[in-house]
Amino acid sequence: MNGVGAFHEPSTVDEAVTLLAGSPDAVPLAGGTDLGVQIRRGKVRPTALVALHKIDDLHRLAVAGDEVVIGSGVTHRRIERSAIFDGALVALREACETVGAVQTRTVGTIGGNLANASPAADTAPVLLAFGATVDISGPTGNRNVGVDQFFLGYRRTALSAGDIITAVRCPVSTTDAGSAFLKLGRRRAMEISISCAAAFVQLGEDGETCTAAGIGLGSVSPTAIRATAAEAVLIGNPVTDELLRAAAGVAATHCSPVDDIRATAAYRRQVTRVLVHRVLRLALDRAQTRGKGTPQ
Amino acid sequence: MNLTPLRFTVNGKPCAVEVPPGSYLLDVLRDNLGQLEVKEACDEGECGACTVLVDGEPVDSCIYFCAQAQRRAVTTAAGLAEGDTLHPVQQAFVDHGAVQCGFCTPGFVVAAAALLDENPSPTEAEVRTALAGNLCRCTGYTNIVRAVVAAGERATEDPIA
Amino acid sequence: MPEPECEDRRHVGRPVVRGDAIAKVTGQFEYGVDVSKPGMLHAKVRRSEIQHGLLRRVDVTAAKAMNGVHAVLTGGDIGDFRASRFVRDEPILAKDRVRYHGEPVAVVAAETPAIAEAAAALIEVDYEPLPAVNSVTDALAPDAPLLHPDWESYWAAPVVRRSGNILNHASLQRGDVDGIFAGAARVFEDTYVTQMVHQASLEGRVAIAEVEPGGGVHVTSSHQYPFGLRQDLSDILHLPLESIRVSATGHGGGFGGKLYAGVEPYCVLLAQHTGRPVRLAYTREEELIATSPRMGATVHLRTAVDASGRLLARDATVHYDCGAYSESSPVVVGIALLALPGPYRWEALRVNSYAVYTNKANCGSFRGPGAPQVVFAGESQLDQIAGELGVDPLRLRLDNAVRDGDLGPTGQVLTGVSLTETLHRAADAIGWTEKAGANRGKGLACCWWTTTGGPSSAEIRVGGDGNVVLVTGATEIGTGAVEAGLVQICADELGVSPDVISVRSADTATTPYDMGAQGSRTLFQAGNAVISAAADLRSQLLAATAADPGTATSLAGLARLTGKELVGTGTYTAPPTAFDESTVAGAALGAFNDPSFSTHACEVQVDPDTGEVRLERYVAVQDVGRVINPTYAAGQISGGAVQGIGQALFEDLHYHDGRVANPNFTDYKLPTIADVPPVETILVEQPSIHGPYGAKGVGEPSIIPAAPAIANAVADAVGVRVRELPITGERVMRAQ
Repeated sequence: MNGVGAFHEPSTVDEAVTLLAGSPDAVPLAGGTDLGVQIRRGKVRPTALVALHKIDDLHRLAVAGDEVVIGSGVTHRRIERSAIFDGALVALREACETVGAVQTRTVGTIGGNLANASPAADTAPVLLAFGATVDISGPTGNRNVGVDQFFLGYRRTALSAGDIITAVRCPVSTTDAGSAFLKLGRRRAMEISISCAAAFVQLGEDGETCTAAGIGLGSVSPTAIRATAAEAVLIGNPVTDELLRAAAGVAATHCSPVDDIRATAAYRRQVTRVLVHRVLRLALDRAQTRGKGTPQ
Repeated sequence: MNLTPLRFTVNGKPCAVEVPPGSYLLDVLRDNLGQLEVKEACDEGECGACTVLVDGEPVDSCIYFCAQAQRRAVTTAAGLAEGDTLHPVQQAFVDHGAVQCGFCTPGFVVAAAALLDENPSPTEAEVRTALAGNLCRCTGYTNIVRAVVAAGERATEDPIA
Repeated sequence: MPEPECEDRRHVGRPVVRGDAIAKVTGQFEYGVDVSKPGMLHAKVRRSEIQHGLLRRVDVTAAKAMNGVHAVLTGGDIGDFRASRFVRDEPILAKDRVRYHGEPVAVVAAETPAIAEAAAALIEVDYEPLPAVNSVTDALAPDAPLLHPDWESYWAAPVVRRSGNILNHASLQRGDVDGIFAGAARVFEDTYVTQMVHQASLEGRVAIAEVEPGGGVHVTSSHQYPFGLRQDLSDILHLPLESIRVSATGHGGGFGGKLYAGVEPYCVLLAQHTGRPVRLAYTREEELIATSPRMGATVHLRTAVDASGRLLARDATVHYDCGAYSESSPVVVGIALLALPGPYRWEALRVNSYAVYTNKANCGSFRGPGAPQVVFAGESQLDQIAGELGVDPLRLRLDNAVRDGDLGPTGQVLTGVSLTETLHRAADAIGWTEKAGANRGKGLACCWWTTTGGPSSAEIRVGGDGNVVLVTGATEIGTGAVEAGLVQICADELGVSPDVISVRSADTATTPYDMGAQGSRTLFQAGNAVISAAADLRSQLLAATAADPGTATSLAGLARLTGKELVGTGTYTAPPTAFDESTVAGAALGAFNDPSFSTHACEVQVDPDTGEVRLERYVAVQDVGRVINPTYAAGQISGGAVQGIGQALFEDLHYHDGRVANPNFTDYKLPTIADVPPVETILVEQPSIHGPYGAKGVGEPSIIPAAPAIANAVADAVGVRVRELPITGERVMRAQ
């Protein structure tokens, strides 16, 4: 008895948008691994749930031209298992592997992870590092927003009433790019991170000069953030370990962590520097290995 | 309170219920269908005691809306055995002392059964990864890991496979 | 047809499968939460929203008026009903004041759990806030408010020494402590802090009470100690003992958390008021904010040693933060007197151990109560001493270890001592002499522990068909002590197969007395009762054959011949352990009975940049006296070790702004299967004097040495000494 008076299962995006727009207290339901908890705790009290799982469109997962399109309803488990994330985009698989446990990942979706907008959402730093965008459908039509424009504040997003995320688009990288994700928490599973970091590094033809970089951070600001100032340290320069350390230092300086039950702000800042250095190192090593390997 | 009619199968048996639309699968299984083998311990998807399989994949039924299971197949610990023959995971739990108070056991055995379906001979590390959503407070997990690894070996030795 | 008695099978010492295993893996086993009664109502507790204050008004009008509500009770509606067993300081519903956030203020019984919850929320409570006592330091400040201004008027057990906010002061004094400190080559002085941790049994507290036609009450509860609960209900509610029946259900874990009256008094009162069966089950949040976790403690420890590392004297002051009411705290703090010195030789000892009231949920018993806090201190400091003196920590312990015939801290004569063997076995298993790699370290820690006494009884019934029913008041809380251990003993004592034995247990109306599943006692005490009951049966058979040599040669045969079931009865109470009573005060337990000895060793990898501790290997060596069932003995030890690892690295029931900040399993972090290595268990067998076949209590000790073993390994890995639990990455970094 939680006040949910209706459970809708639209089969198209338009239908879902109409249902949500017509009922201000209705909320979209993806996997429900967070919403189910929020409703149990009485933190969210929707009168209706608009389940998105019957909308075929939201389940696509494919390389389309120069991007990977991940339907918002694609589960963490599917991303873990998909060969699309064998290569330069492996960081997304690594992030998905750390979401909750198998039970969470079986139903939890990438769209839900973003819309929920927890500062600790594991996939968000990766998508920020990738320069990914989200497709949004709503009463005012469709639009595409960069993930770096999507998070507006603590658990606030660019989604307006009636909007749903339909897909996430990640640029497909060249062969000489690599990515990685690292998460620090007290436990090794079922863990909300103390800090997490993702990196994407692309190298020029010399195999040394960084031509593109993305750094995403989680749990160290009111939202997951993209550390653009740290990225700038890398781009255009030959990558050395010293440079990676410098970038990590910038990333740690530019985040705004808080004290909470999991850790103090000071510790978060300290380990963010460590994580960013390590995650850049890992992404760089992967980029270099891939650059030397056979092209895909 | 309006009720919504839902149909799904539980351990192969068709079930039809009329429940409030926001009902969780756990509550419907226990309160409406008498599937008391599905346990509740945390109510927020953290402990795995309520794990059931939906179309063969493990979910935490305490935060899974019953309506999400519409027209799907739900499997609980009571549905793993075939007649008097325990599922290999269940037999291994018995044989290797993986059961103490047993409250977590129904969740563990279904999660482990799903693992073996996907990976018939998991390593110890794979078992630990796959079962990280199931808390046990009695065993320290040592015998649980041992049991699941052993069940895997048994499964691969099965000539039917 | 061969008689079962003729079988030459021995079951003790073998991995016999517990009787409830199949029901548990198929989910058919019935727990407390699975029980329901026809016509049952559901109860809900309304709890205090503030930490400390006077109750000005409790208005239940709206709650009572709700459709489906059958009763609402407040402190004003009931008699002077107070818990607990040692100091009767806790009104079961707040009367004039509340002393912790979450304290029961009212209870509701209604047709459904949802109605009960909604009605409880409608109760209006006005408080006049009082200054809160948040810590031991607050509580002992000269101007501290008294949590219990009327404390002197409370009934208390004579052993308890109280004064204001001090709920009990237990002390040990032996030898010339000050003289030895004055003359010692080295004195080490440190302070250690441990946190509040919760039993977190997966099944929470749950009970149903119903009033029977004759006026008696029948309580069905997931309880560890049905006879103790019956006594509690009688004491609290002023009911005749014989009018109460307690039946224990199957258990989803207890670990000491279900030894005292919890949900049951509310069920009984509401059943009496409504005439209907009433069920009350706590949510996870209620479990974590308002039941009886392990108290946090601050341990100030001074140790005097000679230049070679011989331990001379210890002087310790321990403050346990016990929360607002006593539950078992007065007894628990006394255990420090025995646990803190550890299994070492001392010339002099002084321990002052205080139970202190604070405005938090009352603490209670959790596996090895009182010990992990002080053993963390003692065993950590031993490694610091070893490091300072340049002595191998293993050597230091071996050189100071107690041996057979030595005296314990309070003067008990030690027998069956196996500490050095556990040390050697643990060191061998972990590869103590092999150097660990970079940022990798090894640590070990020891403890000794008691086998709690108290009476147990058993009845064995043999029918003409050869079937055996073992009737015992002992409770199977999951360890296998009853469903495997007692059955194995019964089988061997009668010479039958375990398959023909069924168990009936833990019901005050239908089974004989037992002091409950506590203090590592069940298999030890009830096992002896079973041996005694079997001996009774055998003597009946002997008497019959002596009287008439042509008569039956088996128990089943005799039962057939006489046409009635044969009944053997037995009871057992362990003899008290002698100790020097002049050395202790304020302690209910003055000696460890038939003590066991343990050493744990582990290997950790520490990330020097983040402080993260990764447990790579874990070895638990425990002297179990005599193995009754190797699978379940090792299983219990593994489980206890991982609970200890939980306290060492993960768990922390954390108060912030006067309330538990993490009342859920998201933020109260139990170790998952991915966080721990396999526990390598080694069972040492140094028989006890009194245990069945020489067995010692097994259940509790394995939780005790984990935290210091890990702290010592962290120090070995990166040279950082963490003196506060849990050992988080952040604390490791801060301690550098």
